[in-house]
Amino acid sequence: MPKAIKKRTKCQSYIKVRSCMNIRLWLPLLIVFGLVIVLGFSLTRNPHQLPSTLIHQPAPIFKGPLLLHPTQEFSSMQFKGHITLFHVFASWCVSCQGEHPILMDIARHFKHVLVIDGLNYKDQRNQVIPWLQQYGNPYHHIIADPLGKIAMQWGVYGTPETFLIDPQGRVQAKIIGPIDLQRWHQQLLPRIVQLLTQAPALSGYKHDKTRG
Amino acid sequence: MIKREGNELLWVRPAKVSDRIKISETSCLRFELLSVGLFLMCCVSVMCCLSSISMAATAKPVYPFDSLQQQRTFQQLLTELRCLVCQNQNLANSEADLAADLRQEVYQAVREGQSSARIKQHLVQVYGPFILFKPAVAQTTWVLWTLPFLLLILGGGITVSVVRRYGRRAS
Repeated sequence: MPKAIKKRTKCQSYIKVRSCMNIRLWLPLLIVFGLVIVLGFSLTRNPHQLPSTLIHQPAPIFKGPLLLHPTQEFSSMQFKGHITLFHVFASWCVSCQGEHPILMDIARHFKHVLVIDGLNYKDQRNQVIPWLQQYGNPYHHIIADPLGKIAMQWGVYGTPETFLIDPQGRVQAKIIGPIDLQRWHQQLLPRIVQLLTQAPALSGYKHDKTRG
Repeated sequence: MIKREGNELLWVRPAKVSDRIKISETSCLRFELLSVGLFLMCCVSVMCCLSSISMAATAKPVYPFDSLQQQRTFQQLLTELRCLVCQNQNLANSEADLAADLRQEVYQAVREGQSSARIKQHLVQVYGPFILFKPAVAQTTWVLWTLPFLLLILGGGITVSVVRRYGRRAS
């Protein structure tokens, strides 16, 4: 009788268990697969959208000249008492141009609720003023920052950037990049509504006539 | 090609083009080489002039210090801070506007006598921890710091056990 030749399967050569469905066989594949999922998810994140350190902190204290009335000064104390959108922009910034119609719409429809203040970042008066005349001026006050020193206190590293400031002068949200409808509806509007429900006396804010 | 030599047919290597170049033609070739060489030299010299002009135009600002210690601190700090616009470069290398501004701010802080740690702490407060190339070793980042060593030990352990098993089976 011929000797029974026992065939050794590949699994049995490696692992002293008969079944090929042993977990130890599949473990390296599962580990690598898990790693691929984790790293793949990380690839979808944008490293330019850095979380701001200013959230829930009081807004940086600063003073700066107004762009349209250079003899007058704007102080960060003026943020108190109403909801503010603090918008960092420049006339040389192409994304700001694209975003501007939305900002004009916000200024028009929400003028009794919030105030838009602008920080003109590293720009020149003789270039911004024609730009505003062409595209419209949604801002209550525009602070001139030709050297970028004020923006550096806010952690600004590009334009446009928008900060939502509550009536107590604390930063509640930061939008990096142009505001589009999606960001407005997902990030800004819910926070604004939340702030309004916390302090209903804010709605019906009458903006003063001295716009700068 | 095949040549007949008496009663035999010989196969002769066909003459190459280079074999046919005569002495008179090599002098023409030398002249061509000379002209090409002159042209290349002109190109190189023009490029050198242009690069020196452009380097003069984009001359980097000089950061004078009172002491060598301060200068070293400054240069060390620049290599440890990230440019947030060109995020793979440090402040020393980046040509972005923001990098120039941050370099100026760091320079003034170092001149005032602030320590490296203090300057880094201030910048992290304003821009967030991403501005440091080396993330701080904290509760949130201990996985980042220890994972390579853990994986090395794990992989090493698996390798050793597999090799040992093979060795036992072979012997």
